[in-house]
Amino acid sequence: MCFLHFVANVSRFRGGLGTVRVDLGVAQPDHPPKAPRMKELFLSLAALAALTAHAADLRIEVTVPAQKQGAVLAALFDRSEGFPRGKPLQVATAQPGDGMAVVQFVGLPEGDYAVSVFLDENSNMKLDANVFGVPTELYGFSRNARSALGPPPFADAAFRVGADAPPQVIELK
Amino acid sequence: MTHTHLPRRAVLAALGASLLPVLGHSAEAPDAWRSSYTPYNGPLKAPLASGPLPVQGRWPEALQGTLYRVGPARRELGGVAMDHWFDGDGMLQAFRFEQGQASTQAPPRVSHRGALLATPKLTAEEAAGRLLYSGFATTLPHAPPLSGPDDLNPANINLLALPARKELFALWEAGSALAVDPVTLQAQGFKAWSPETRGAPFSAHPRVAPDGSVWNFGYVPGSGKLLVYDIAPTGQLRRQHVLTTAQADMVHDFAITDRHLVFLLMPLQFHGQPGMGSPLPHYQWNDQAPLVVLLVDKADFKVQRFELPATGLFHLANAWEEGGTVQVRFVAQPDILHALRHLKVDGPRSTPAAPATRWAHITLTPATGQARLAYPGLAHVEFPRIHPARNGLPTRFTTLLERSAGMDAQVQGFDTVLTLRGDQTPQRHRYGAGWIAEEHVYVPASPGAAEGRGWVLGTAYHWPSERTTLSVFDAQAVNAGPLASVTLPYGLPLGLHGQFVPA
Repeated sequence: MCFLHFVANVSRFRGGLGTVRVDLGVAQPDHPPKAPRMKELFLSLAALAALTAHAADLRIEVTVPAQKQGAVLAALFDRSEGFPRGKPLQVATAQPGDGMAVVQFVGLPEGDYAVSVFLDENSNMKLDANVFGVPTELYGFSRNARSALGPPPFADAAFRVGADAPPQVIELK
Repeated sequence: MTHTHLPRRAVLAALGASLLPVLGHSAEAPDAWRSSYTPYNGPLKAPLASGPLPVQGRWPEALQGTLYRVGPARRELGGVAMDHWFDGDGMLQAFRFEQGQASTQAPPRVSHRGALLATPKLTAEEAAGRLLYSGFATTLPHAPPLSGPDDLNPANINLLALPARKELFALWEAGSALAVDPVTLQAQGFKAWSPETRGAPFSAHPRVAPDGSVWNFGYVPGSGKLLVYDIAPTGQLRRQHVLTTAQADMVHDFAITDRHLVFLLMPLQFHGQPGMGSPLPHYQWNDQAPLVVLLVDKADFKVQRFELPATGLFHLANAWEEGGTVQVRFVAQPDILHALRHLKVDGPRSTPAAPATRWAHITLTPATGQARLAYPGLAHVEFPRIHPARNGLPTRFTTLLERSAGMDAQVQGFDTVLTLRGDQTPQRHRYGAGWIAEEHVYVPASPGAAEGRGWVLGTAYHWPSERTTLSVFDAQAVNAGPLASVTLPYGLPLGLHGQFVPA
C-alpha cells in the first residue's frame, strides 16, 4: 500500500494525448524553408554586411550516450518569448559520432541565446512523449539547464554569444 | 535441523524470547519498525543468500515454488534519511521451496535470497554516496532535476509475475515496471509496453485475469487521467486507453470482473505543483465529495459512474458479476490521509490512533444505476488476498491481516493473519507479543483445487530478536497455527506485497 506520485509536470510539457506530441521547440519550423525572393535576399545581405563586424559563430557540442541512435536536433532562440516551444530563430541537425554531435550556428549577431536539443531516435523530427506528456527521448538545454520536470526558463539556459564565444557543451539526458 | 512437528507455542518461544540472550540485542517497541531497516542502511551490501534453512515442523511437500516479496529497505545513506514507510529503495526477497531428493526421501528444502534492486535511483545515489531524490513523504533539498518519474522509481511496492514467460517485475505506483531476473534477482531495466506508455506510471496492483491477461492502470495526480493497460497473456500490450475523470489523484488499486474494470475513486485531491519534492503535503480530503465508482466496460471502455458515501481506501480484494449486479470487496480506510501521514518507521508515540479500517461490500446494479455500500462488521484489517486465478470471479475465501487489541500501542501494523471463509466464522492466528505480521498470500493446493484448499503463506518480523520468520498454514485451519516455519538468521525490512510463483 503506497502511492507515490512524483509526477511529471504535465502542464508544462503540454503532452498531447492523441497525437503524443511534446514540443520543446526543437521541432521542424512550421514551414519548410522557401527560396528567398530577391528583395529579401538583398535585405539579408545588407543586414549581414552591416553585422559582419560583430557576427559570431556558435558551436554546440552535444554528448550522446554511446548506445543511442539518431540525429541530434537543435533549436536556437534569442528571446524568452516562445522558448522553447515557439518557433525558433534557427534549427540545425547533426549526426553523432564517438558519443558527440556538433551543431553549428554561424553569423549570429552578438547577444543572448538559448538552445534546446533532443535526440530524434525514431527520425520523426519531434520530441516524443508518453500519454502523460513526459518526453521519451533524450533532451537538453544550453548551460545544461534543467528544471524539475519541464523545460527551464530562458534565463536559465541563456548565454552570451560574441567574438571568441566558447562552445556550449550540452549533455543529453 | 529438525523436521519433527513441534507445538506452535514451542516454536514461537524458540524464535522469540529464548534467542534474546544469545543475540544480545533487542529493539524497544518504538524502534520495532526502524530496527528492521537499520541493517540495510548505508552503502550497498552483498545480497543475502541463506542456503538451506532449518525447518520447524513439516513443510508441505506439494508446496513448491518461490514466494517473492518486495518492500522499501534502504532509507539512509550518507547521513540523509527518510522515515516514511513508503520511502526506501526496493528490496526483493525470494523464498524458495524445492523438493528434496526422492532417492533419499529428503525433506523439502527452503532457502532465502534477498537483494536491493539496482534502479537508476539506487545507482545514482550509491555513486553520490548519499540519498539524492525526494520521496513520497520526504523532500530532500537540492535534489537533482528529473527527466521523468522513473528517476525516482524505487520499485518497492509489489511484484507482477508472468511465470509462463519466466518474467518478474518489481512495481512502484508512479513509474514503470522494473524487469527483474527471477533467479538472480538482478534488475534488468524498466519495461516499456509501448512507445506511448514508455515511462508512464504502471500501478502496483495489476490484476491477472483467469485467462492470463494482465490488466493494469496508471495515473498522474492532477492530470485527470487514468491510463488503462490491456496486456495479452503473451506479454504483448493489446490496448492502451486513457479515461478522463475527476478524483483520480490517488488510486492505489482496482479490480476486474468478467466484463468490467472497477475503480473506486476517493475524494483525496492533489493540489500541488507536481515534480517538486514530496507530493504528500499537497493532498487534501474533500469532505463534500463522494466515493466515486467507475464501472468500465472492458470491450469498449464505456464508463458508468456511481456515487457512494465517502471513504478512503488502499486495497480491493476482488470484484465479480453476480445476478445482474457487480460485487466489490475492499478494505475501507476512513481517514486515509491520517494513515498516510503517520506511516513512519518510528513508533506512533503521541500520534492519535486512526479510525479503524473496515471490511466493505459494494453492490452495483448497472441496470438501475444503484450502488450500495455495506460494512459487515470486520474491522482493523488490511492486505486482502484472494485465489490468484480468481480475479474477477466470485470468491468466498480471503486472507487478511488484522490488528489484535493486544498489540503494543507503540507498534504500528498487524499481528494476526485472518481467513474469511464465506459465511463461516473467520479463522485467526495471532503471532503474539513482539511480532509484526506482513502480508500473507493464499496458495491454492493445485490449479483445479476448490477455493480455500491449500496454504496460507507469509512472513512476520519479531522485533525483540530482530529476525524474520516465514510460516505456512493449512488454509482450512489457520487457527491451528503454522504447519511449518523457517526463521532466517537475519531480519528483513518490513515490506509490502508478495506473489507466489509455483515451481
